[in-house]
Amino acid sequence: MSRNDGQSTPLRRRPSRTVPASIVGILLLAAGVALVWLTVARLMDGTWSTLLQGPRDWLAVLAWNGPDVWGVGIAAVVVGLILLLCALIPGRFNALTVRDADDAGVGVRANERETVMTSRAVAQVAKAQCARIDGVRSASATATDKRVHLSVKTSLRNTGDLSTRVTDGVRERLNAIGLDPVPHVTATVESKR
Amino acid sequence: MRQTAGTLNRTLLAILGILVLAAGLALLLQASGILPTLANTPPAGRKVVSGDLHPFFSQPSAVSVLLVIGVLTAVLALVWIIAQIPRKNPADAYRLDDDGAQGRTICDPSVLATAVENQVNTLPGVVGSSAMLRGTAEEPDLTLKVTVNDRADVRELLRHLESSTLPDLSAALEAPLQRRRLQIDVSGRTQSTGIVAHSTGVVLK
Repeated sequence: MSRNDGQSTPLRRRPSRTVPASIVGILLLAAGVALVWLTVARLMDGTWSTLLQGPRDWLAVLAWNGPDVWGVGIAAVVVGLILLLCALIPGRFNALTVRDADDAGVGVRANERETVMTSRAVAQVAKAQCARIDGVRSASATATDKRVHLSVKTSLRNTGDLSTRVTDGVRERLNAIGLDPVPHVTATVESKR
Repeated sequence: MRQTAGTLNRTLLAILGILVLAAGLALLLQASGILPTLANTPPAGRKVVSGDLHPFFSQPSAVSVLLVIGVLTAVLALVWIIAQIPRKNPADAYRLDDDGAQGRTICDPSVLATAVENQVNTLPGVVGSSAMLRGTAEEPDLTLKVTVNDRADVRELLRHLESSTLPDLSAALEAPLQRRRLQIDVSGRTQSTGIVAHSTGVVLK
């Protein structure tokens, strides 16, 4: 349930599984509405809807060891495993922790502080820092909570130590920001002339 | 800033997953003939529905039970879907002072949040900010999102926040902050307020 207690929650969190939850919620809602509609129609008309004739005939000839039961069983196992994996696979954190200022703590209890930088922000900083390095023509960056990867395009014929300069420069910038821990920085350099 | 139903989703998905998985395994064991040897279930070759369903589902009580199940399923599913909408979960009005017969002083937390935003927006490198106050007047709980440009000195920004903005808020409330959560975002936009100008270049002699 969504909170309604007027308290904050951690900003650095794992995915909230909104998509699978919404899909299952909509399916359950559809099933509930269909059941209500069928039973209300039965109470008003005195007979079950003709829509149920097909399932009724199917159930009447169904044997426990029939292929349909096997199919339903396998489908249920697969769906159950997917739902369990959706619930149990933790997923990546959405943000990276930043060290607090050295003189922090004025008016704030030490164990109640949280400073984060979103993965998207880290990627943006890495890309901007990379673009300032001599020899870099263009760059794109992706970031997770543990690593930053840069794809660099250069006009240089001999890329030489450009990859090292890029990773060192970006790592230095991320360290200066105070990311704790500093994510692993990698780069691929593509020569384009 | 907004809060989602992550714990609820994980819990319900796990419960439903276990139930559906258990039902599927039971069906497979029944179809393979293993379950009838372990428990008192019908043999695998027998039909799933041995009798006529019509008399059973003609009973008013069966229809009523199905109706209740349908309503419960639909309502709970609707509540679950609505819970997916991210919530701000704001605080109630802060009660700053209550002297009974003397009267009382209350403050809308959004007023203080706007003051914090206005102060943060003037800090070097800040492009925009969004503040949310939760908790109570005695135990305020600040969540702050600050968007900076990609050249901003984040350490300097943190020092400014810790040395001026947060103490100012604590002083205004006359209470220390219970929690302080800060999210830093980066934008390619430039600062719209303040006096900071960045320049880079090479001096040739």
